[in-house]
Amino acid sequence: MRIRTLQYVLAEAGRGVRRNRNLSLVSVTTVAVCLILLALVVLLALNFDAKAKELESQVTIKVYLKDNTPPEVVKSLNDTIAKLDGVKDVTFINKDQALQELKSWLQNDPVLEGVAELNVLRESFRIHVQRPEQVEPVATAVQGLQGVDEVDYRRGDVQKLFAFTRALRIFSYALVGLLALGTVFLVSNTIRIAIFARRREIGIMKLVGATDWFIRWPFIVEGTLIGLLGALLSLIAVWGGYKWLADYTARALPFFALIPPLAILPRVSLLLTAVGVLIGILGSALSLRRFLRI
Amino acid sequence: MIVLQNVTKVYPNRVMALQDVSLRIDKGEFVFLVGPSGAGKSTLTKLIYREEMPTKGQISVVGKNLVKMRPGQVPFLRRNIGVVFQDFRLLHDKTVEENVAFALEVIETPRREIKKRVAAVLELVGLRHKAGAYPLQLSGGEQQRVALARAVVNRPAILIADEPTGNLDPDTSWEIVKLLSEINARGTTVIMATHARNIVNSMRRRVIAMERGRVVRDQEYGVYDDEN
Repeated sequence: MRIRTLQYVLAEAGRGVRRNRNLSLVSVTTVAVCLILLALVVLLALNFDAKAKELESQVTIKVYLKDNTPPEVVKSLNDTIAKLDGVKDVTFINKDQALQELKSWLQNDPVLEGVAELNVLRESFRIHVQRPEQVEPVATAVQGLQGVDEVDYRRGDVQKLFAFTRALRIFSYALVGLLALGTVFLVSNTIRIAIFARRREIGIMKLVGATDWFIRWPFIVEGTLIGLLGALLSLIAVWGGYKWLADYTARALPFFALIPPLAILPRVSLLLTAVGVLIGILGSALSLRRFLRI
Repeated sequence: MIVLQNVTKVYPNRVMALQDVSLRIDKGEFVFLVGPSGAGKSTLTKLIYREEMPTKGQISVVGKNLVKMRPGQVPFLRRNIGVVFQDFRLLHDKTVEENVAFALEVIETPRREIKKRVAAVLELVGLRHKAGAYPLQLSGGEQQRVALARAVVNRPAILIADEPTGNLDPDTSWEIVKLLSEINARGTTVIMATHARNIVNSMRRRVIAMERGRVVRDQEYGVYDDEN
C-alpha cells in the first residue's frame, strides 16, 4: 500500500468516527464495558489460581503411625521419608506433643480431663513438599511404608477450590463471550451507518475502478479504531481499579493479598487490547460482508 | 474494442432486458444507442462496464473476456471505461477540482500527476475558472461537464454516456454533445444512450436502435427514426 493511500485510509476512518460521533461513542463505551468485565473475570481467575497454588503448597501431609511402633522403625521411617523426591521437611510428633497441640487447639476444654492420662493419640510425621504437584506421589509412597497406619493430606479441600475456580471461569467466559458478541453487532451497526453515509462515494469509487480493498480499508480501520479506543478506556479503568484494590487488600486483609499489579496487569492489558481490536475488526467485517457488496 | 456475441440478459425478477444481442464497436467509433425506455439501452451499457453479467452469451471489452473475468479484475477493467449519467453523480461536499481528482485518488495515482491531469481536463471542459466551486453552485450543464471531466481524466479507451443530456435544456445539451465529439476526436470510443432525436439526426453517426431487448437497426451515419 502506498503511503498516500495509508494517509487516505486513516483520514477517512477518522472522519467516519467523527461523522457518527454519538454512535461511535456508544460503541467505544460498549467495547470498554465488555473488556472491563473480561478483565474482571481474568483477574479473578488468576488470583484464585494463585491462591489455590499457594494453599496447595502449604498442604501438610500427616502420616499417622501404628501404635507401639519401635523407635528404631520410627528412625528409619524418618530417614526414608526425608530422602523421598520432593520432600522439603519432615517432623516427628510424639504422643505428648500431639496432646499439647490438641490442648492448645481446644484451649484446655474440660473435655480433655482424664483423657490426658490415656492419650490415645497416635504418633505421626508432618511432611511438607516443595511443589504442590508432589503432594500426591509423596503421600502414595509413604502409604506403603512399614509402620504407617494412615496418611492424610486433606486432598479434597484443595481439589474443591480448583474445581470451583474452573467452574467460575467457564461460566464467566461464557458470559463475556455473549457480551462480546453483542458488542460485535453494535460495532457492525456503527460501520453500517458509516457505509450508508458514504454510499454515493462508494458508488463512484466502484465506477472509476477503485479496488475492493481500497474501498474496504477505511471501514476496517474505523472498526479497529473503535476497538482500540474501547480498549484504552478499559485499560484506564482496569489499571486504576486493580491498583486500588491491591493496595486496599494489602492493607486491610493481608491474608488475601492480591497478585501485585505489575506482575499481572501488563499481560492482561495485552489481552484486552487484542480482544478489543478483534471485536472492532469482526464488527466491520460483518458489515462489509452484508452491506458493501463488492 | 467491444464485442457482444448472442448476449441475453434476464434479471432476477425474470425481466428479459436483452435477447440474443450481437454487435461490435471498434476503437474510435462514436455510437448512439437509441430506443424507447425499457428497450435495454442501460442494460447494454451496464454489461460493458460489468455492472451486470450476461445470462447467456459472450462479451469482450478492451480484449478482456468479461464472462470469465475474476471479480478482482473488474476495477482494472473499469479504469479503461469512463461513465457519465443523467443525474451527474457528483459529490456535493467536494469542489469541482476535488470531484475530478477523486477519480484519480482512488486508483492511487501519484499526487503530482493528479494535479496536472485535473488542470488539463478542466481546461478541456472549460471549467478551469470554476475549479473551487461546489457542484450545487453550478448549472446543470456545468455539473455534467464536471462529471465528464471526471469520466475522462483517467484517459479511458471507452466513454459511456447514459442519457447525459436527459436533464439539460437543448442548448446545454449541444455543448455536452460537442464535448463528447471532441473527446471522441482524441481517440476515445464514445457510446451515448439517448432520447434526443434532433441531436442524433444532426450528428449523423452510427446509430444502434433497440426495441424490447433486441437490436432492430444498426446503421452507419444513421438517424433517430427508421427512415424506411
